[in-house]
Amino acid sequence: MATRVVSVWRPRPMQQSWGRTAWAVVTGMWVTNRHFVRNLLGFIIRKPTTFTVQFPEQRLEFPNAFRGMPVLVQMDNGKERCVACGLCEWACPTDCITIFPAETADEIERYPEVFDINLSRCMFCGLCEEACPEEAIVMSQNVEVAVYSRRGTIWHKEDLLVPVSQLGKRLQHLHRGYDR
Amino acid sequence: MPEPALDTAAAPSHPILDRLQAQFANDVRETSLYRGDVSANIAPERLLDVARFVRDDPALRFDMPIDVTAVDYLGREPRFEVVYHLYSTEHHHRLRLKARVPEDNPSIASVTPVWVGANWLERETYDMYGIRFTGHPDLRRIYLYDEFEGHPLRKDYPKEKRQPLIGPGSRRGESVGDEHPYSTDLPPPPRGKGMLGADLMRVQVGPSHPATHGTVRMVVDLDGETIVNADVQVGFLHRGFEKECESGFYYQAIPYTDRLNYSSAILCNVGYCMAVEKLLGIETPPRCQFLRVIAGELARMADHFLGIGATALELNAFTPFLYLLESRELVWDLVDAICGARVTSNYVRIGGVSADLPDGFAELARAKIAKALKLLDDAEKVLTENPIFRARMEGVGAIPPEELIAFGVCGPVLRAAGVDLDLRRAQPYLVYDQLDFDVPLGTRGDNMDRYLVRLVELRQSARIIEQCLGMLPAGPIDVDDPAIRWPGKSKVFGRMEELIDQFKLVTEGCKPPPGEVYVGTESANGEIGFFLVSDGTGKPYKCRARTPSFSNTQPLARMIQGRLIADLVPTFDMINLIGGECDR
Repeated sequence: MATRVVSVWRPRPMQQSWGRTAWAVVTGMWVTNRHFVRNLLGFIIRKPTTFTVQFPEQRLEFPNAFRGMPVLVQMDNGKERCVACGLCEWACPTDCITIFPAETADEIERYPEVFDINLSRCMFCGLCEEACPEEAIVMSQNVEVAVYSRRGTIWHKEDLLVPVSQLGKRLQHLHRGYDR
Repeated sequence: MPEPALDTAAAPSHPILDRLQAQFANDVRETSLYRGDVSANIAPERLLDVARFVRDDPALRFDMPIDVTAVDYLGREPRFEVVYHLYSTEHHHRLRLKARVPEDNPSIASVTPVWVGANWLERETYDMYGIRFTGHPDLRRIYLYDEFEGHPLRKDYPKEKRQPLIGPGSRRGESVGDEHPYSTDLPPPPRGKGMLGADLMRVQVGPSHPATHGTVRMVVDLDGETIVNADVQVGFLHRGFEKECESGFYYQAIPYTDRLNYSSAILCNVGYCMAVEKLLGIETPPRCQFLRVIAGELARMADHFLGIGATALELNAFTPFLYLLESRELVWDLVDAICGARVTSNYVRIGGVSADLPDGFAELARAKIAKALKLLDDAEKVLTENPIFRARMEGVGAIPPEELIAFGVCGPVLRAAGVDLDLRRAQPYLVYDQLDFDVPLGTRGDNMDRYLVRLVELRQSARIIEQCLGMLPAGPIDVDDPAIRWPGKSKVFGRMEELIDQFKLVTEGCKPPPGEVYVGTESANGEIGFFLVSDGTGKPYKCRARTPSFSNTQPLARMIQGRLIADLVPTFDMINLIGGECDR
């Protein structure tokens, strides 16, 4: 196997090839008009051929691997799976996670009393998810996180909790990589 | 206080070092051959002589300045070490020259007389470390503003330090004392130098201008419509990438490398991770290397689609821009399916990649790439032979290849001038030596050639991806070393030892042995290189990114000098400046 050096093809100087240049204009018009007519027909017969998605009426289907905002996994008993070990806090490059741990008499003794994510700092990199030893913080498919105030960019534990059933796609993606 | 423990015990033998030592026996103080990087520490007084010698000697021919930077060894005397990375386009070998300068008088001779491209690099080093380069023609700050206090990459500069605000009533225009003797304000244009004794007109293009993508300011002095002088100013997107990397673990810098070149983020990921792996001395498994090549070539395609599309847009050809952005969107769908994000991919990990390909990826990739290339055909039919497009592109922005090399220009811009320098071919890394692809070269080096080279590279990237999908071996995608790559989650969930490994790796990071390495890889715009210095801890002591946009933008002023102001736009576009990469 080898690489090869090739010289790029260059069109001849315009002065020597007026015919070809004129033909190029015709070709260009043909291409643009072909696209135009095809899109117009698609519009008329209600089968759009255009690429644009009419958000929010239409939405794209995200792939399984998609990384939206990080959320906390809520177990079936309504509690978070997080044990407040603080690894995501360590791994976060932008220090956007704040955790205050506490203890209860439940089967899982430790839980986060406070779990805040500052989404104005978060860059959706997913390192928290990779660091988590409990599969408690997972990147969701949610990207619509606009708020009206700066205070609203800080998401608290109650806002972040999402039932396992709603995180299926990302968890499916993660489980593929668990047995490496 | 970290002392870089290079293996200097036995003086290493290497043809380059032997040649250097034969000529400068007393001035080469220390040589090393750490991880294959040839490095020589020389006496600062003789820097210019050594530089001239390594450039002109037929066995060395280091004609391209890759990078100039410094390392601050706070507490050691002499404190600073100025580092020059050189490349030979003839012999395709590398050399690192180092010279130490003391803290009380941090000055060293400028190498701009030898390599003209050292100009901006030395300005950056002055800006970041306060090292004065004597004999430099134009030693102004390049990224930061005049009123900025201190030099941010010095180790004693706290990351949280606040800076004075600038604006009305601030100290702008005042002398800022001995610390910054050089002002970034330009002198007014000479009067009466234009046609028929008219005054030159000064026009500011940018920082935010519809004809420039990315924030860059160009101050042009016009005589009529002809550009007499141009000063290109960068740094409006500077965000302290290197300082940020030094304050986090090695793995925490990977998302930041996404933000260097945001249109081909994976190539930056690959470059950074390869540098850390070289520092660690590990080799990634073959499947991982193939995945990196596939993802990287997708990113290269996305970058070229955007580069050509934006050029067309800024020359008023809106239709091909739409076709090409649609192509890029199709490529990004694939990137999205692999790593979960279109732009900020964060795909590559130290010693592996974050995820394997999704099921059915090969069919998806073939379908989407075929569709994208079909749209590229359409865009090409509209653009390549169009008389308006040709009139704006042909014969514009060309400077001789020797000059481009001396400026440190690389990538498609250099190849368009006919210089055969593609690191995938010259110094094959990953699995590029097993692949079959063409490296396109131009003949005249003008903007048309740069455009045509990118067109061919797009199709070659598609060819590389096709080959990789066919050759993809089975096997692990990560190195099997819990001190470098965290173990699989099923083990972490169930077993104590792996859980401890996970905790240790997250809270301490991987710890490369002390040393320094440089890795250059071919990104979409040229060589992206990472120079890492490790002191044995989990955080890089120095993380330097050498980015192609920076070195490619430097000769822009030279390229447009004497041309019409309308020629500025296609030249700027074909250089394909990416603000995040240029300003870091």
